[in-house]
Amino acid sequence: MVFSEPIFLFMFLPLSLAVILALTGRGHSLAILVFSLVFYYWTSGLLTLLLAGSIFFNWFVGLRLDQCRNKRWLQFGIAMNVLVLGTFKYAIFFASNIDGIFGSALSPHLRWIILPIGISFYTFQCISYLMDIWRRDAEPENNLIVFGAYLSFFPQLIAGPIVRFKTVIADYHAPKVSLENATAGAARFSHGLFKKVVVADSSGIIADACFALSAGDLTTGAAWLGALAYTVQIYFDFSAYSDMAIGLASVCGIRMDENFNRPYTSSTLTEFWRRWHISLSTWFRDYLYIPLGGNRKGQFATYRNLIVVFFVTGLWHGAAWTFVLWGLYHGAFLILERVTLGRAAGAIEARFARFVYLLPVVIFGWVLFRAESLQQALEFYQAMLVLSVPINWSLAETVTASTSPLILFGFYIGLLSLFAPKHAPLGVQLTQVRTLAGAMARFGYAGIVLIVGAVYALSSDFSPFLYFRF
Amino acid sequence: MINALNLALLALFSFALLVPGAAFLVAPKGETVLSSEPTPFPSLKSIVLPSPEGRKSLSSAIFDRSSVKYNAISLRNSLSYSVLGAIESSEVVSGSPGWLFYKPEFERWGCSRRATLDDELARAETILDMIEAAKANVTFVSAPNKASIESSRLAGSAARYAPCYFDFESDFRASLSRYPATVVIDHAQALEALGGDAQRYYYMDTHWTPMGGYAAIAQLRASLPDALSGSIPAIESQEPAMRRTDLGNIMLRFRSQEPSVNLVLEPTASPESGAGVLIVHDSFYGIVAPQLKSAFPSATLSKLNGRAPPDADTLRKFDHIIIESVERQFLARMNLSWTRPDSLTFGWGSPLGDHILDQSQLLAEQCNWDEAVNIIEDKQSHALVRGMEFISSSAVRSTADPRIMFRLPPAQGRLVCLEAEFSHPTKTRTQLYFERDTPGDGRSMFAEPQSVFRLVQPGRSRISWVIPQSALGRMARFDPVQDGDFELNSLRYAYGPDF
Repeated sequence: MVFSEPIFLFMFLPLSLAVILALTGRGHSLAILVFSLVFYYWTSGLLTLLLAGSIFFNWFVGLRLDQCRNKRWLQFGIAMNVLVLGTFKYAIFFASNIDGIFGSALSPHLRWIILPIGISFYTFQCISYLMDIWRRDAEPENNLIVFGAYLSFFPQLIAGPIVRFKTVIADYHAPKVSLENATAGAARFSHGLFKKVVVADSSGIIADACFALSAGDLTTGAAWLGALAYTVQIYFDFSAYSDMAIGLASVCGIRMDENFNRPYTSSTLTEFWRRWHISLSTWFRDYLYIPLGGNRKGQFATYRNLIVVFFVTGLWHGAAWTFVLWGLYHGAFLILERVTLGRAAGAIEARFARFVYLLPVVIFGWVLFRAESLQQALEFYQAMLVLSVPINWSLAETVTASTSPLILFGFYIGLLSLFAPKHAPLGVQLTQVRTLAGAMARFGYAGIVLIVGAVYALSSDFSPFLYFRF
Repeated sequence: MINALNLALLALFSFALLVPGAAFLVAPKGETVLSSEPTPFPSLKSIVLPSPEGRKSLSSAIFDRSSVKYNAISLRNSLSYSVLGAIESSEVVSGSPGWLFYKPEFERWGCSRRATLDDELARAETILDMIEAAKANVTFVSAPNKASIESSRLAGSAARYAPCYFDFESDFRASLSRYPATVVIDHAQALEALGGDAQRYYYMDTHWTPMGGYAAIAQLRASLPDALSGSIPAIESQEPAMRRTDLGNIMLRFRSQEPSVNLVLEPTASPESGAGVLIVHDSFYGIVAPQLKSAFPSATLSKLNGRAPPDADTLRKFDHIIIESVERQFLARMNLSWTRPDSLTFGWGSPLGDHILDQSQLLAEQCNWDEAVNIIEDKQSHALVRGMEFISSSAVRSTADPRIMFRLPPAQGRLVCLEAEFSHPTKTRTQLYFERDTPGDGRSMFAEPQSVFRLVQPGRSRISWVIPQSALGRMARFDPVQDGDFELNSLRYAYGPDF
């Protein structure tokens, strides 16, 4: 079940919200837990047992860790979480690589492994929970139902954001259900729905058509169009999910931190990573980069730590070398920025830097991220940079067929985001105002995007969110 | 005031989330989205079981039946058309303001299908060549695509498809023009003669208007005076009327003001007009069926859409067979294999293909077989035997892909007939290939599209053909059987009467 699917929007969501909002105290958390498990079971079936096991295991280890203050409980807890994630997400990848190097036949024996949706997100929440208890940044949760509600909360269960226990647990104990929060949440959810079904899905159709082209049909025009369309798609798809998650949480009285902050308006890659998938980048900063020494142990160690962090970031996104290279590519540019700009890299506000530097770097990175293989990524780069093919802006028939007016309409809205001023009061800002004029604007904007989003969701075919696979 | 606005927004939010589901629960029998059966409801067991398959289909099962989904699609299309001025779905694409086109028209003749289309055209030409040579009582009729006639309306989204479409369309049209009207009638001529000012096609429908259909019927009658006599009814009046159109229906609830022609439908032709004529047609003649029936009261009309084409026994009952097909399906119908009862095919192996070959055999009997030439022994024929060896004067042992290649005699202004007599123990396929038009391009001299075949029963077979003019003086290949041993009694040619 995904947020833009009719059965979620028009059946599950009204029912679950009605029950969750009708209950208070422990009932509120119990309702969240039950509906979240149903939500997960709907798509994942028996893999729900893995989620339930993870809830119980981490709740138990959290309590023991606090009681014993023995680091072995922490190590055990983290090791088990990493083991589960490694088994379900990376076992086939590693086995395939071993097979490729040694000629063995391990991977066929692992075909039974199915990647559980959202495992990367909830496993990271578990690890941060245990580490926060160890660091005494958070108290362990005594109530299994509340902890289960936190870990399985359906709005953010399968595609994030990665919510830190310490930042939200108070809201699970005392949900801040109010008219203002509910309205802001509804507006934010509507905003996300519109972004997903109108912009992301439209751009995705164009991107898919371009990335489906064979090397022979890939022209300069198709390669650039595909890269641009994917650049729009991935941002609008992922940030839309975050908007919807944050919105639904707000309706339920739970406040979540922002996950995106107009990343394409950044001037440098350092700034980009402060605005893109904030919950992941801060997670890696707090639980990997800083424990490795961060930037406190000299230049070389800083660069090494950055490379390690971005290697893992790439791998976190998917068990494929394209993702690993994408991570290393970003890590390399971050080091380059530190070498050339020093600490000022994150503070640069040059107006055109995003057009001449940031966006080209990010767009080229997305090609690697989207490509099915390194070979395909190379073909795209060759076509985009006119390296081995003559410049040709024409588009193949299948690409042209994908650019209907309605699809282009959605894509163009997304493209505008690349050019939007950094502080323009658009989108999310429209859902967060508190003045009368702001409330009127919010009512108008949310009303329109809700109706358009609902019409699109009802009239479109099924379209899963991209970040489900991560 | 802020609270009132917030409450209003929450009310709207609740309304938007509740209405689609509630509409299904309260009134599930609205206008549904699909013309075919909606997704069946999964069983309770499959919804509860761990496998998500049953749950996946539940959403479609509910919302396919919801009138809200129908209205959502309708609203989305209406907004797109009225706000963006254009629309495009998997089946419909808009052209000039007010004009919709059927997208598969373009996709079937797209650039990426060019090689396939060339083969399809070659196969169609072989069939038409055989009809012409056999003087068969079969006439194919092409009802032009809307895009072919209303090309000036291909603006906007539809314009993107024009280059590839017209590239092939000109080859197709040139090919049809090579044949006499007894073999092929291309209604493009009649429709183009009406001029661009006449509304020949509906704005939001794939079909011609009654005005266009009327011109087509007139052309049909004039082209086949021996088969179809009498005059056709006059147009009494033409007034615009609101109507639901096929493309409009695909986009859901698009209606448009379209011409509606009032015809004098009393039979003005003699009651016998069209006697012995079978008109197999699709929805293009279907839309003017009353006029057609009025013009040729004794003709038998057989509609193709969704039904099996006439069988061999039916075909034999008629003096003349007219096969009408929309241009976009014209080649496809001659190229599809006969695999199921509702196959819409007229190629070799189909009842119509056999009918054409029967007619060819009938005419071939008139050739002068007393002066026939044995191809295997004739030096001028340069016969080459491959994939088989003679173990006696007539018994043949197949090694692989048995075939005889030889040169067909020149025309000399007369019919040329070919005859093969052979015995075989099993049901098989016997095939005659004509030399391809473009030898030397690296491909084989013979190819499937330029061949004629029929299935033959076990035992002794004698098959003869009248050879198309275009093949005379060129190489041919005869595959008596697909495989296995057989007896080749004779392979010979003879001249017949003058063309």
